[in-house]
Amino acid sequence: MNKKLASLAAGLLATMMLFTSCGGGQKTTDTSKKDVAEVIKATDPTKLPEVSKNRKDTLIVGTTAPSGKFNPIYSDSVYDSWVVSLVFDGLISNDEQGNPTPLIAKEWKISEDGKTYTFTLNKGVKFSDGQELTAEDVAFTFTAICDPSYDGPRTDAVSSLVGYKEYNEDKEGKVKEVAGIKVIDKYTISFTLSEPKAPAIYDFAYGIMPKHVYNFEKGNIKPLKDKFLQPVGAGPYLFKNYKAGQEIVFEKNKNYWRGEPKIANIIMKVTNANTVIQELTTGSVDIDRVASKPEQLDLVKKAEFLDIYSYPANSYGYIGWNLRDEKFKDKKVRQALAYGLNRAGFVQAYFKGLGEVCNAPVSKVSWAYTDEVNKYEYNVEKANKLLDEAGWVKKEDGYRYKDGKKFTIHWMTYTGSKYVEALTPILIENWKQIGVEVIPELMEFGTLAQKVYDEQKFEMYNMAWSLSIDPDPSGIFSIEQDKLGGFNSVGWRNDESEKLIKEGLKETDMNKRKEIYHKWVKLANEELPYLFLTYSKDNYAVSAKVKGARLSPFTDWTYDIHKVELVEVAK
Amino acid sequence: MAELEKNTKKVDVKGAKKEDIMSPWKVVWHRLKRNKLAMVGLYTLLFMVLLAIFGPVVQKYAFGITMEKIDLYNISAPPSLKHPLGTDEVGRDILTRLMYGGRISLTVGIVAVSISVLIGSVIGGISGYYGGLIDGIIMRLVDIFMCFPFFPLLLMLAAVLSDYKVDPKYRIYFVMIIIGILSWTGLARLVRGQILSLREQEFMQAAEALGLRDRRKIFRHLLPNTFASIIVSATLGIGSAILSESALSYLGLGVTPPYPSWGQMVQVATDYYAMSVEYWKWIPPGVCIFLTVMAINLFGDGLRDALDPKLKR
Amino acid sequence: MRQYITRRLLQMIPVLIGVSILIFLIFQAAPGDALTGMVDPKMSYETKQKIRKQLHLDEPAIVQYKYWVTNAIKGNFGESFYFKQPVGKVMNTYIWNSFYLSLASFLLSVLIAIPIGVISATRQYSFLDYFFTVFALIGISMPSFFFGLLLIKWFAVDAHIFPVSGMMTPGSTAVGFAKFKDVMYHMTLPLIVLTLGSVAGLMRYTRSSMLEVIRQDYVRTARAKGLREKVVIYKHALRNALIPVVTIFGMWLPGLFSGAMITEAIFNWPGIGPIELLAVNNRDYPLLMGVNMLLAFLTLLGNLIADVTYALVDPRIRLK
Repeated sequence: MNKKLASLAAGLLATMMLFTSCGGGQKTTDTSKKDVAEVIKATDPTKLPEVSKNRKDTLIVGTTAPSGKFNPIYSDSVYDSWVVSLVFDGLISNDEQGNPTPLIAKEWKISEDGKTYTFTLNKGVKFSDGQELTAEDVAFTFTAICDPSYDGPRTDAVSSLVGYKEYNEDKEGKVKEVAGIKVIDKYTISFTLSEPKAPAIYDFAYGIMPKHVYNFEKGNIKPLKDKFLQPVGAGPYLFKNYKAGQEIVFEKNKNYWRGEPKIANIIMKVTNANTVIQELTTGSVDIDRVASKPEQLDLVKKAEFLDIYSYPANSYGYIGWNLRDEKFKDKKVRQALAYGLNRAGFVQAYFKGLGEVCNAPVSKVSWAYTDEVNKYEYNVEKANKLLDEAGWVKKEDGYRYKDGKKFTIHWMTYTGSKYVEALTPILIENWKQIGVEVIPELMEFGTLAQKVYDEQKFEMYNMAWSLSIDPDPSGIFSIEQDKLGGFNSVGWRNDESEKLIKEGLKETDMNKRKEIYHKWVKLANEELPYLFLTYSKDNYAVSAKVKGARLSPFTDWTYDIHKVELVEVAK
Repeated sequence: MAELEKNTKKVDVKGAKKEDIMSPWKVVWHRLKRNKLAMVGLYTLLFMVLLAIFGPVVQKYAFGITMEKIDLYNISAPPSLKHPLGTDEVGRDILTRLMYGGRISLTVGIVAVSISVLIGSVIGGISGYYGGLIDGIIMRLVDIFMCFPFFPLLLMLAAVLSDYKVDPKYRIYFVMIIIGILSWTGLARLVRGQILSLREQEFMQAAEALGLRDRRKIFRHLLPNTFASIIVSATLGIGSAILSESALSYLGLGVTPPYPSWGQMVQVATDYYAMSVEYWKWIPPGVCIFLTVMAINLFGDGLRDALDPKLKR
Repeated sequence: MRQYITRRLLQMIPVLIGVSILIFLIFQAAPGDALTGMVDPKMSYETKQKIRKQLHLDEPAIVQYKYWVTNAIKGNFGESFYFKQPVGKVMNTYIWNSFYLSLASFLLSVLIAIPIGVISATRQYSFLDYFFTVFALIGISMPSFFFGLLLIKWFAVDAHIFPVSGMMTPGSTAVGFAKFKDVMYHMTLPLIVLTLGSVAGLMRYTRSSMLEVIRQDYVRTARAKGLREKVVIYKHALRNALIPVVTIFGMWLPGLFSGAMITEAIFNWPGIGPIELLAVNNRDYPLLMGVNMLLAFLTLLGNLIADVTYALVDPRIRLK
């Protein structure tokens, strides 16, 4: 798809899968039911091209080439997960605000100690092959993730279950089941964690696989992998045909337990940045992602028959600096660099109004977001003053020195990103003005990730985080993650932050949790463990003939797809 | 295989040798001058070289424009008097970047080819002269290199490079070296084939009789006789090295921003809007690559004809 | 002859081993492995380590190579890290798409290059000769990515004559001729790009081979016999001139399967080229090794075929 989106996504590749699968917040949430997506309606739906008008029973959605891992416990890209959510249903789902909602499980209870989750399933849910979905299938799905031979990306969803270790490390097949997964009766199942974990509910959103189709012997998951391209689930659509690198064809599941889907066929067609606009405006694709570029959105608007859904992405772009490095240890220096970078100018140049300056490590769409933070507006004087105070003295050559050492930053960044290309000259020029030299080093994303996380050999780098719905930052900022391979690679060790993160993880009262995170956000904004850069937007163009699509930061086009219909366009 | 090369190459070499007796380069130059296409190529190339060398300097001192200068109030501007080729997405002057990119492309071509010529002719010479086991081993080595997947390998090597703290300014030189190292095999085979037949000729028996050392025989007597084909292959090699670099930069693995390169500049066209509307951003660098490589090929082709007396009119 | 072929086939073994070792070593020197690119707080370091262990990524390069080689000898090229599927299966999915495109481009190149090569040679230094020479040089000088983008802009974006990308109309269930037509329609632009690039070499080759032949005595004799010029050229000269040309067809063999990385990427052609790029970026060495070993084998096989055909079509050549 779009280069920039792709590069942002690269940073979080795997995180993006949470798009479909994370539930968020708590059941008690009553956070303002704001409309998160801004919709620009098509101005003249009758302009819909004939091709599209004549395609009455088929919805075509543009996608980036999926990898073919069409399985709820293996999919690791947004595109694969779209396929998965058409074919499979999970225990729970989430609404547009990110609150968890019942799906296969009609209700669930969390025990007093916050460790045991008990789900009651709807009766009469059938897989597309006619067999009924029972607690056994649920147990099978989660036990499969615990299997010793499992090599997919879902392990962290089950690793805190009681008995995971025993099951996973037993290679002889002596341990037959995971102690923490208990089938109570045909329609009831419970999961027990070893520690209470507020965000754990989203781990139950993964699609449920029919045991009688995917079953395999413990220790040999190959039979399951062999069925990647013949997925069978209880979802609204049946997987018909897959042409690698080209398209995937779906047909409705007439017996879908929530009602027969209204659109007979869905095709996911591979498009790329060159082709997206063309495909949309000629009507050959009905839904596709559009880059956050005004020029491109204008072309979409000009077609007049496309609705545009535009909403802040649940992500942010940042610059990470190694806080173990003498230069960056001083908070004043970090703040000076923030003041000294024209982030608004960059946002203007790059997003042209379709992005915003970011000042905190949470997305604007999250309930943990607060606007009461320092904005660090571009201010060269303030930056200079702070650097002077920090003891960095400007010399004749225009650069600053301290203890005879020049203020030079080696900045590691990645190739193939328009975002980086636009940021590079601005960063170099801006910081040169406050006497700081920046030397950019470009590398492939994988190399950068290795240096930043596995080796922690860097001075400064930039990436983006795509967040899950729950704002818990422990995965990125806790002290526990400050180790080789951990995600707190900048090495932010702040007692106050640590305390707040721990409180937030245990607190079950929504309002109290919110307060805790607001405090934490303000702290991060003051301390600047990262130089927060930008918020971007996600934009989807949807043909006016598609009625009932509900796109939002937390729900994609596959959400409630059985209710979506194709209508005749009105004058 | 050896047999084949002997048969096909022998004839060329004899011809070239005959020319050597008369003042050879003058003859070649005269012949070249009559070839209009080659001269067009030569002049275009000279123009490109001059532009790349002096262009940025003129821009800097006459108009105060440098290739790093950003101007956020003037982004993606179409061509105007101040910016004859418009500006890019952060307001840098495209013409200046184009000329600077020319420096890089041309340097890449020359350095990469020098390396491949050096390796190719020495290895080809040794292999052809000694023959036998040494030849067998070297030819297998050449086979191995020829089986190498060029692009994946460049990609991996580029990744290896970024692992060592190479100043990005100099990274492009490593790219040149890699292109050079990966493209010597064709020349090695060519030289080897010619030497195989040359060493059987009378003048080598004379050298033998004089008791010259091997090194002297290879480098003084045999290799100079293959210069004609080496020069032609080198000239054409510059063109393909420039193409390799531009493709690599297009994939984002060549030069490091903010330094421009033609291939990298064309890359903006992967964006639909830039491709359909902002033609000034990507068509000029693409045309530059094409013109330069074309000029080199025209010249190289003319050179081949001029060096090959069989094709004398 | 049989002895010669056997010997050549045996010689391939050390070369293939050499290629596999070198590719493997360079690959290992590249920083990162299949898991480093996965930056996701939901994928903890411990989990990654566990998977590394399963894939033997925690062991030294030599040990990993040993695993690979011992399985490869048994015909098992392992499972792709990225696709989580057997390497053969992944390759089989994509390689044929590349093959169709390359084959079409090969046939078209031959159809264009040989006639214009002959015309250029028979009318050396004529206007047509210059014209074709320049045309051929344009072909080698044009960067494929630039030309591809230009074609997309002109014919797909501005003129709407051809599709922007893909290989077939989505959802098309066409079979037989309708399917063929659909694929050809999508193939046109990438085909032009690839063909322009390959016509040049073949045309120049035909031209010089033809030039050599028409100076030969037997051609002069044929002319002296009073045969018509057409007969002389197309019956006597061309057949001999094509001998070296035919032999280079063997060299095309690997090209038919290697996929054009950049052209395929630009046109969204679902070939093996972009998959190889993906394998490099995701450090998927089983897949990368699989693809490259196949290509290395085809390269060697192509060379052998070239030499053998040469001997078959030209009785003067004797292979020893």
